[in-house]
Amino acid sequence: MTPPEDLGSLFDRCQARLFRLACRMVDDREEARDLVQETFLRAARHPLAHKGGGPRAEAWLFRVLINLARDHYRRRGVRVQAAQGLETTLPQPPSDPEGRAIARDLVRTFLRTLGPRRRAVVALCELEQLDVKDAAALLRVSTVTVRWHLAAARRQLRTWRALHAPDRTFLP
Amino acid sequence: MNLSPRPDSSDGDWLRCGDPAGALSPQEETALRTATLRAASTAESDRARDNFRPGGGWWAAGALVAACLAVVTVLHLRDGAARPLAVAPPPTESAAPLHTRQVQFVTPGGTRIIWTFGPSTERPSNGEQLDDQTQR
Repeated sequence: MTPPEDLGSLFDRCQARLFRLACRMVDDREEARDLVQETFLRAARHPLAHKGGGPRAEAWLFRVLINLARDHYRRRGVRVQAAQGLETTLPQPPSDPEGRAIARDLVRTFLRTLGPRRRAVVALCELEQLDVKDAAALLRVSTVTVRWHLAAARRQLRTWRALHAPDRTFLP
Repeated sequence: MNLSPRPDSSDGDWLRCGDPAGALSPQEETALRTATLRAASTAESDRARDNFRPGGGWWAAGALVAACLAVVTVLHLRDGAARPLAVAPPPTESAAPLHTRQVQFVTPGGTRIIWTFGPSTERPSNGEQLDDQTQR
């Protein structure tokens, strides 16, 4: 199989998961799409890195996307922006009670307060529901580190919810 | 510290209910796929062209090595030119005796004759030597 065909099948297999992860790693949809595009362009430039497809190739793509998201985070200084603008950017419930939209805004606002690595851990383990071992392999950190980030994220989430969304459970 | 890998269900459900993940529209997916495959084809043809070129990357490697050698040679030559010529140390007092020679004779009567040849001593020409030998 030639590299373009190889990459085509890899794209078909991974694009949905990559885009979901990108949406959780950055703040808006357009940025997420750009991240996915850049990830696949890198894959096109480095065919040896994902030669043969398979789980290793998929893991490589995930790592590229996470690294790109981290670069994006550094460039934008999202943490500073979030810390400064948290009070003002907190979404207000719209007049139209679209619970899902509010929930999405709240979760996105919470994710924005996390650093890129912790955000990736939450996105992979909580939202994508990967095993800790798989997430650790993708992020190239130990399972202890992943668990530590998860526990810290959990504490942060509780504090954050108590402050900003005490009465919103969004459970069906 | 609680190292449980999963937050309790209410935290996890809260996050999942507001999961900001989305999906690409079919148009976006097609556009992305096309751009990706085009980039892959371009990269592939670039690589093929590089491989077809005689010598490929070896030319570049050879040129780099030659350039390095040239730089090293030039630096070496320049250092050699800039370095002062080796100057012999000025002759010291102890060096002077090296240029003098002594020939000593002791006569049967015990008289010691010492001839000292210094740097200023002139060597006799062949004719004089012959004269000396004739006189003897």
